[in-house]
Amino acid sequence: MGLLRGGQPLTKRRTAPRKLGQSLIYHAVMLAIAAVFLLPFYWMAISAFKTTDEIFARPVTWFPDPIHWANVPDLLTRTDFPFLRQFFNSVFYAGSVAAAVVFSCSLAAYSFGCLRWRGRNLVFGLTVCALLMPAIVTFLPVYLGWTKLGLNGTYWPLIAPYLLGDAFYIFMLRQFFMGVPRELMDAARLDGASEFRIWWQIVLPQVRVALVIVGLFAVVYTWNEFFGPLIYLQDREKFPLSLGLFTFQAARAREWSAVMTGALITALPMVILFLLTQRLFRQGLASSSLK
Amino acid sequence: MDPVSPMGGAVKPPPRLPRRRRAGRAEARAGLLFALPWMVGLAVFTIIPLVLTFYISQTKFQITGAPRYIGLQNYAAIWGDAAVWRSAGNTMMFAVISVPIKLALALVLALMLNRVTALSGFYRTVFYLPFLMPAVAGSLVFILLLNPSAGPVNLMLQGMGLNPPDWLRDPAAALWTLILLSLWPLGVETLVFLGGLQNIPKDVSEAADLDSPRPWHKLVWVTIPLLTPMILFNLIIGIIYSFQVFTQALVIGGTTGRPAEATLMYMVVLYRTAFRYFNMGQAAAMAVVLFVVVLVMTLLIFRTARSWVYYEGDSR
Amino acid sequence: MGAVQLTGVRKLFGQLEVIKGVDLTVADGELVVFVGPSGCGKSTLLRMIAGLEDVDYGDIRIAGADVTELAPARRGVAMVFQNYALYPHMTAYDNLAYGLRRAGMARADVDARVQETAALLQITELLPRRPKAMSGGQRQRVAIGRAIVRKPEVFLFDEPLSNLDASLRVEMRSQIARLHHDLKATMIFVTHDQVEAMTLADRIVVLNAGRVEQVGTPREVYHNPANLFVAGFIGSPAMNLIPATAGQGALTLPWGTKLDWPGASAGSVTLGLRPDRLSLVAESQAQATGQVTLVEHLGDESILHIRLAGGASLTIKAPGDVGARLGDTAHIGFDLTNAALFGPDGLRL
Repeated sequence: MGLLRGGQPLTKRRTAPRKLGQSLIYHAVMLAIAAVFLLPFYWMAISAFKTTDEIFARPVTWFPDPIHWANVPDLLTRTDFPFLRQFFNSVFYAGSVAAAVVFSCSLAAYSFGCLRWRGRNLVFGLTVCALLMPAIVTFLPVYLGWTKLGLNGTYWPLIAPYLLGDAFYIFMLRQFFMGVPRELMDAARLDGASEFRIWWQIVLPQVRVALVIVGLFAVVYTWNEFFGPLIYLQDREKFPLSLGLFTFQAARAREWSAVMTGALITALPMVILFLLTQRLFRQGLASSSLK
Repeated sequence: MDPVSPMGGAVKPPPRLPRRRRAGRAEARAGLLFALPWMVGLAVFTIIPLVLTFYISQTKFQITGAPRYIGLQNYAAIWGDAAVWRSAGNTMMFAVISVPIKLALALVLALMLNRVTALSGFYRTVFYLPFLMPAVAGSLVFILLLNPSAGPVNLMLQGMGLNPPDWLRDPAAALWTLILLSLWPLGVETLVFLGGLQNIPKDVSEAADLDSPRPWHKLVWVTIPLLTPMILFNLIIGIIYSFQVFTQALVIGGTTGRPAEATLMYMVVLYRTAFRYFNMGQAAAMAVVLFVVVLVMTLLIFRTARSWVYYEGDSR
Repeated sequence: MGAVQLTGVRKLFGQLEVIKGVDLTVADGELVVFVGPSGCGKSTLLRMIAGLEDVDYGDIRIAGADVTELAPARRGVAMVFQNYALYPHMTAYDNLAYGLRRAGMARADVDARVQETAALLQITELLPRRPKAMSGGQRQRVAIGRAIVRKPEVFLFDEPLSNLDASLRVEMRSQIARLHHDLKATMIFVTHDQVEAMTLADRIVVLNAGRVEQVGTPREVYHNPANLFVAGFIGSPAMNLIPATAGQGALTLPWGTKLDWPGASAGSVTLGLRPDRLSLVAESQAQATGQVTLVEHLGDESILHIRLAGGASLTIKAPGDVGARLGDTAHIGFDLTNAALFGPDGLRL
């Protein structure tokens, strides 16, 4: 760097013109790719506020004119398809699963990550296998079982399994639990805390962030879940949004404007959630991929 | 007063007291107890159903009524079912085409994202966003996007002078709709690769810079080999999921895989066999077949993995 | 306060025996230090006394009662961990109170105890703070406080000073010594630093590969090492161990020098001489000759490393500054007072 003496720089700062050019090209390319990736979102958003005719009009309009804000309340107040109801169903569904997952998987992850016991590695190995197991090969008997119990048509089959745990979230949480220093648990043992108390009062507070991350992932995955609700629910009033949108489109294939509005309502909450909690998502992925 | 034990050489066996039974070794008990709910879950929702599926696949079962053992007839029925074959072919093509392309794109994207710039955060958000789109909504939007007359995709392709097909009505192109749709949410794979890239120690990267006359040398001989564990991971996950593709296929192609069964996927056929024709036995047989195929593919990949995947602490 | 008694204690990890039959008694009010190289089992032994590791054979008695099968919290022990293990999400007050609350103590009693302990360690103003708002030394004191507050029979320290920087370490050492004096508590202290061991201990237990090599006061262990291992481990710089052949009342060193040693029976032996027993002498009186390979000036004394003709090396500790320089020829004389002789099996003769 040049020193200033009497206001005059002694040497001239070198600029790097090549670097500037590279940078511009890089950003140009990236922005173009970003535009391609954002296109579906954009299209969905603008289509939601057009009329069906306008969607298919030629030449194609890249911005709705005029913006039909009323599409949203119109859809939500429809009597033949209970979208508003389904929205709350989705909230209930995603929330319940997330709560169940956080509780049940933190129990198992604590066992795998912090405690030493005979057979631990075997059971964890089975967990990893369950992770890779295609769901296709286990869902049929489970479906038949729930039907025999008469719980087909309720949310029980969709939520109850998560009260026991799920391989994916257990795997993710275990990484975080392994990071809690053993000394902390030993100190608590010496202090006379029971193992359950140690889990609840000492270890869980240390992995708070992980629990939030797992909860977030559970919310997103469950909100977007389709197959489960498809096979277990028959009453439209009970559908979550993902299923509701599908049946709506199947029944009213021509009402594209409403379909897109429905799609927007389905997608938007998760997008907003993500934008608000990005850092946590990335942390979650980073830890589980380092296997 | 102070018992001084002799050192080393002296052979004096320690007092032979009986081995203590660890009455209530609290930690081991707790470990088992904490894992118990999950073990129950594993058994009830994974292990037992797996076995039962095998069993059901050898029965005739229409939900109402009891299953009747019929041996391997279901498998014979599948063997002769044209729809099953069609869907199997479609699914195989889908998997074989989409997974490698997706991995390659994710890799390229990760390499490009591996720079710290003012807009890095923005880019990462953008590329991760599609992953959040519910499958149903995403598929519906893609239908609109690929609309031959009103969809921006064809518009732009035509603007570039190309002659794009009618994605949704041309059987030859319809599968590509699904493939393109599956390529869109590559945020997860990209992030995995990005994580791998950032895990490469800085000095290794700099040594490679010094040693590589051309930038792509470093890429081919250093970067990618160090990423092979991530590639393996994404490959396995990708295969397992692509073989089970369902929601997108159902939305775009319906239960018949329109047009002309071009988008008919294996899982969709399984679904309709079970829930439209109520032929549980045959559906189970289909599931078993898929399981075996995926298992074999996974094992094959693992077998070859040893030769091309870099493991920490090994030398090639 | 209570005494600790270990009888025939053994531990195995699978097939590997990590604690090979330890018999030990710690008297009431004593400060005993377990010292040894890393991997010798000292921490494992401590954790077995605490109840954090299983005992496979043998028993452990604390204050007369057999605690071998008891849970850690029931043994009347308290432990200060290497990394303090303070509950990060709780204030210092809660950290101290935790064990008492678990034991079902009334709130007023808990408060009284905590305040009393905080006053003793001068950490009262730290009580409302969380660990991350404290310095290393402060955390240490809170960790010690957590142990004191339980009024245990025995205090266990697992390398608590290893994470502190040098000056803090010296200060904490004297704090612990003072604590021992004030509380008249039975303490077992684990460290790999033999200087720490020598300064703190009433008695030292030298461990190596799961076995007790020697138990004794620092003086005993320093001046009368029971075997080669202890001789080489205790004392800094390490004792010079010179192989020799004994016979006819004399020791013959490898380079020919003969030393008088009445009563030495024939055989190969090892002669142990502390570095301060060697000195630089005139050539005519030299009992060993070699080249200076390293000179360490420590201010009040110097340490010289000499390499002898046959390849063996000797260390000399001399007071003040010595004029010798790298490469100089050194003539060494031996002072055989307090020299130790070890037989072929390594034992003291």
